[in-house]
Amino acid sequence: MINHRNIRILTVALAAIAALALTLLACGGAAQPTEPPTTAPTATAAPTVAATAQPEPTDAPQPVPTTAPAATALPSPTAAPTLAPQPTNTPIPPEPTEVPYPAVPGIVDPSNDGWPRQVETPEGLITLEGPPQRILTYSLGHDEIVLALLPPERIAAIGKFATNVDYSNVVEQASGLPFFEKGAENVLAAEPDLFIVSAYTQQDIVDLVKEVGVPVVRPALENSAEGNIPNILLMGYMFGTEERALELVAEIESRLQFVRDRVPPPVDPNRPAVIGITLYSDTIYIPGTGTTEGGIIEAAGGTNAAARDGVEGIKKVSMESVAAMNPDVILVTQPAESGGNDFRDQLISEPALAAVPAVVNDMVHVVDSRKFTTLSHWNVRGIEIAARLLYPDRFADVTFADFEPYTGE
Amino acid sequence: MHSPCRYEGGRDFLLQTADSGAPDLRSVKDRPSIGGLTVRLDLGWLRLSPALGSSPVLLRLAGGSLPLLLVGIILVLVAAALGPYNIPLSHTVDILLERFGLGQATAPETEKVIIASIRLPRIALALIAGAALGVAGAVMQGLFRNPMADPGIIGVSAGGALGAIVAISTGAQAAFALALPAMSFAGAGGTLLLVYTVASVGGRFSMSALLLSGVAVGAFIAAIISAIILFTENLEAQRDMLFWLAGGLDASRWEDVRLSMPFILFGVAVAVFLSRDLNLLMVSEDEARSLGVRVGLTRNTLLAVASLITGTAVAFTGTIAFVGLIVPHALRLVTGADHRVLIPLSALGGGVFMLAADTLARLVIAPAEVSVGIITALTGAPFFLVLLSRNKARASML
Repeated sequence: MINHRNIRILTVALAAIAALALTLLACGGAAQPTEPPTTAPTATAAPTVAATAQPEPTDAPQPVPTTAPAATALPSPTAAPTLAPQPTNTPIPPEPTEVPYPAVPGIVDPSNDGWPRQVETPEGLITLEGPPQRILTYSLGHDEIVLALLPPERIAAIGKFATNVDYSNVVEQASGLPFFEKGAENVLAAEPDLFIVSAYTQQDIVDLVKEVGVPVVRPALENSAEGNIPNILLMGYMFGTEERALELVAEIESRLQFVRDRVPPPVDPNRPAVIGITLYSDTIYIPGTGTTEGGIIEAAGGTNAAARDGVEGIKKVSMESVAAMNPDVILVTQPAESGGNDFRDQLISEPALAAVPAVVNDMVHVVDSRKFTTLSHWNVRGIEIAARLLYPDRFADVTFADFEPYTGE
Repeated sequence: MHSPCRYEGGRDFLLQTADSGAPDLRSVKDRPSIGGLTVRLDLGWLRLSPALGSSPVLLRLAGGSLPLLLVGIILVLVAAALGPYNIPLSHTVDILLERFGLGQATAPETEKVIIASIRLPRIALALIAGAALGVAGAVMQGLFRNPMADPGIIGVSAGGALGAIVAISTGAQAAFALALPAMSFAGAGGTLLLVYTVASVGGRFSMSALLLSGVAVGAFIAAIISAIILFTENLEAQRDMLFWLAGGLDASRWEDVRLSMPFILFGVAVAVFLSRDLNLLMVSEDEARSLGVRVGLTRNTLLAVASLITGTAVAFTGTIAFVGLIVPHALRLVTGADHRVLIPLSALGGGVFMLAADTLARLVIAPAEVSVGIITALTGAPFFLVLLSRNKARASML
């Protein structure tokens, strides 16, 4: 029976609900679902490329992005950029110099170009007596960087995701390498002399491998192309392939600058509103601030509409939210054959999106998701792909090519 | 004055009034039956039950329903009016009126589509699924004579989840849109059969055996689900599975409502229909039998409908925790344990609670959303604790 006592109880209960709701609102989404597994790390996430790093394109020499500590430490490019598109701008000539190796975090003494050498990562200080010859990495992002810096014969084994065509940008290079399954015992069975782990590697696996005496390093993986430059330089130093690391960094910077010069600056109000989008189990996910996809959109000359509307990280949204963001371009960053094409068709035929410019103007694209979700330098290719989709006229004369694999000393 | 139904020593369950002390254990032998189930065409028992004294069931039902209905109507309006897409309130009202055949809305087509095809089906599915979980919880708590029982206690939710995971991992979901809910539903039903069969081994069924076999089968199914997810090579499918398990109403469509509603309405109706017999079963099976209740048939029917509606809800919303546990328990603290009142109110309360949670889930960090399960847990648990702490005396009797 409902009596006054019960009414009081209900009142208290409703007040509790209201208080909780207000708490949630005040927290701004403290209780949120975890991001999809292959998304950018939140713990080490760097600011998105365009949010703070993109200088305005001018004819004058470009300032170095302030969010890339390695870039600020770099002298003028010391290696010839191997930019595939052969930009029509004046090419940067090779400039062999004797400048010291950039002082990026993790290198104890950049002036020491001999062996032994020391590096320090979150796994502590280690001394490398000579160039490691049996390197093993525990994440796809590191696999992609390592395969750009080393000949395959210096890799002890590789994770099987490296040969997954939906996720890996180094399928060809990885396919001839021995595989290892996850787990400390399998790592040890591969007999590595350097074990590279990521922020996501289980600490107990790391500790077990360390106990056996295998050196373990944990170089960061950033979700912006520029943010990974110091990581690439650190790994090049660890492997003793500094020259190759400098070449790769120069290529990355050259490619980024090439795009930057052709797209409107971040302050331009006419930048198209763009969203990246995926669908899993009927739930839509959109990347906001601090995500690889969001950084790619901004670096490619778009405005990440989700970030603009306050989405942080990768969050689930409803179709209504997509309509509210009113994007000019929609990039489906999901493998085409694994739902990407179907989702594109669904978006195009969705009545709630019928008036959205991206649908009206046929600007809903399924893109190569590998290049939009990777935590390696390969996300530069995502920037190039997105820039071409956003500004087809400005890049009509350019043919972008993939990064070349390491071809030897 | 009416005193609440109560458990005494975990066995006795009395419907009585403080002033008369007369238990409401009238014989049901004389009532007509179909297939062994008692048929009550005369609702006089509902209004004039001597056990209810000055508190007729209908009066208590109305007393509990009206505030829930009022809150529900307000919530429906709020949920229809608010969302990441900014729609003026006047347009919302016009569109809603148009949906009910009252006038012609002049709002832009996009606004009509968003309210009619996105918000309203989501509201409807929240109400239906919440009602299902609330009723299933009330029935399970009654059958097991345990206020901590919930719809998943005999592994039915896990079975539904397994069906969905299999649908995703085999690609059936991609080939046929309804494969996922169909297989989820089949998984829930298959689990019930398995658990029931295990509990009946040796020819003697007992609720404690059902509970134990449900826990065992549930754990077994959870292990299978983990194995399928771990060994799935396709990472996209793996993501699909993980995200489905998180549950949610964000992809609700009218088709989901149309498909789920008949099963859930049927199940709720049967549960209401058998609520009096459930009261008698809670006293003891022997007592119920002596009063003409076909114990086995009634119990099995209630188990089946609780599983039916749980499986249906899981099939369309994924696994959403707390609703089936908290709603009937909280309502029992407020209204008493008479299932003739509790089951209908659990349907209403479950729907209202789920809608409130989903509306919060949509709005707290709009345009992004949080999982409705997080909201049901964050709001439901403290709500439950407040009720519990303020009703210690009554809770001790439950």
